[in-house]
Amino acid sequence: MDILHSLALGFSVSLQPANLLYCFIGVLLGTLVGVLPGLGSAATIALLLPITYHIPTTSAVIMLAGIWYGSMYGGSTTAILLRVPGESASVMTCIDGFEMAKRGRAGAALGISAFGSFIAGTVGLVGLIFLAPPLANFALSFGPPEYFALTLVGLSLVSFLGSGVWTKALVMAALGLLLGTVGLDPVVSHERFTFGVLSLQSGIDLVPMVMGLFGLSQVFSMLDRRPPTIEEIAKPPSRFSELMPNEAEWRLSIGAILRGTLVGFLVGILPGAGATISSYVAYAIEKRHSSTPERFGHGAIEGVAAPESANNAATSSGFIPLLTLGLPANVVMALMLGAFMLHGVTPGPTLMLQKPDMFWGIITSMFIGNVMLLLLNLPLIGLFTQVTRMPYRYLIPVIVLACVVGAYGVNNSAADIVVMLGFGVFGYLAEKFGYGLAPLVLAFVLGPLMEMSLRQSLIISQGDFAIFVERPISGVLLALGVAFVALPLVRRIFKPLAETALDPKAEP
Amino acid sequence: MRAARLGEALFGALLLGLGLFAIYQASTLPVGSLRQPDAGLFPLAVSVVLTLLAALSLGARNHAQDSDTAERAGIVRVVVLIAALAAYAWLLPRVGFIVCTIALLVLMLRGLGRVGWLWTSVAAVTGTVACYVLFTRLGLPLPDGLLGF
Repeated sequence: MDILHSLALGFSVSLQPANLLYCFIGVLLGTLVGVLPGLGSAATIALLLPITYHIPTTSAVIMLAGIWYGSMYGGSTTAILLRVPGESASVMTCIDGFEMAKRGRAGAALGISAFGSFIAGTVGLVGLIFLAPPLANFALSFGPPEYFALTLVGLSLVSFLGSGVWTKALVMAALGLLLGTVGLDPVVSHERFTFGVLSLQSGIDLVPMVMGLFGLSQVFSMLDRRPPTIEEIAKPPSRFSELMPNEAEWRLSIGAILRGTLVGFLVGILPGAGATISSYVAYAIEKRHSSTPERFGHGAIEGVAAPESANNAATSSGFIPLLTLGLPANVVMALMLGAFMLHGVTPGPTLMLQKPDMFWGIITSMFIGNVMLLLLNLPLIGLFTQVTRMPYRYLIPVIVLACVVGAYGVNNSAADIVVMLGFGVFGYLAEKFGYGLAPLVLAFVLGPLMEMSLRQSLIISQGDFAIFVERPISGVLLALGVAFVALPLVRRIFKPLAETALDPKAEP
Repeated sequence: MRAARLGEALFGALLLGLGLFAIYQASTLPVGSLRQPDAGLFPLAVSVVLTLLAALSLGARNHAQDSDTAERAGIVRVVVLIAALAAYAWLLPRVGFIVCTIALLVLMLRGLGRVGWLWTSVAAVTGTVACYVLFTRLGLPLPDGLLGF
């Protein structure tokens, strides 16, 4: 009853004409960048952050969220027709999706990923609606030690679950925390790392930073190599009826869609994992679960249905940590937190109580957005495949222009263009040398919260670190974090030892 | 490949240097005590962690390196764009948005993208003017500069 009341309030916000328009712009843009191989959803959201200064908070978040889940729908189109992932979360879809397309079942592959995405996205939202209120209530009792434990465990998980070498990911997290301390100290207003520069007193601005890290650095890596050559393009379906999977295909897929949804939902809540990893996990589970695993890689429709459902469920559940705890679980959520903060709103357990119209308006807009995407995607697939042919030589000037104007607009100052350029070069080199950018940005936005909660905890406990272990919730969180990080490490160290011990002929 | 490995080592060294510099800077701040932490405690702790981790990861291999397909001509294009953007930031308040942006777009379309002159000039001028009109309408004043627009 309570939930119905809240949903009614939410829809009264999200069905307002202006919000419907922002939702539509969001999902349309999301689909387009999802289809475009060079440009990801994080980059697009970073580019659009400055525009959100000029529109109300709820509408801004509705639009940015639309870009995120919209890109998941779009990514599969490129994966299936061109065997190029439009988004990193659609890598797994390339394998069986393109094989299906080669056999003339492109329509069925596109259809099942659209329906699977829709089912998963919607079911994920239902999960979000039922989980968020109790979690937010629970989080109301969190004090500084709990928040310190949450940020510490969250950042460690981001570094360990992300791709690449974990020490490098942790380096970037530490650097992000350090960048977050630039400016006036939050308690006593002591200047830190400002080097006498006045504009550094308010800290480093998130907008030029992420525009550089995700927008410009992307341009640099597009420029430094030959554009990817697309070997073959499968024929896009010409008639609407071709998009309907047949009965046998539906029977094979429905289980995969439901399992993918569950996997995506659970993985999406974890810090650092997000949509991409959930699609890997869902594909692997589907292949192991199947009675005919040899079909995978040769056009098994479950290999399309499962990862596409998983990445959409993960986009829905990824909102849970942000909206209930105020903690972003991945880079896109960190940018979303940035959008909230640009408007002076702090998401967290109190958001649902203090601004229920915003909280429920955002959630219900995602139902509307998913319906729009289903209606938009199926008839317009032919048009979207044309977009994939947009060459870099036109794409690059568009991104650069958006970066330059956006960064300038933050404070009407060309100095921000220099800041953005600096972060662009840094991000380009960091990616090249295997240092991921996600931990950096997450640590940057979480840093101030982490520092405040650490200092407050130490004052409460008179300098005793036992406070983090003795309080039950923070103790359990830290223990879980340690177990999660330590177990794979222990296994990695002992497995070769055990193998050599058991097998006398093995190399030491 | 060898150049890439050298670059990686240099980048790791840069991060290590950054960590050491941050330790030095943070140690000039009032650290306080654990009972009464002051402005310097958290930055100092984080810089120590950063330095240790940067040292640790100097030895780590980057597995993605082998699939990197950067080419020499590509690196030149990147450097050209970086220089152009630096010049743009310097010239923007002095020369104005219209002139600077047309020049930047021409460089990217014609110089980097090898788009024909006709298309380049049409796209550069309409793109710049559209951007100028849109953003000044939105209430974001872009610098006018020499020509009065």
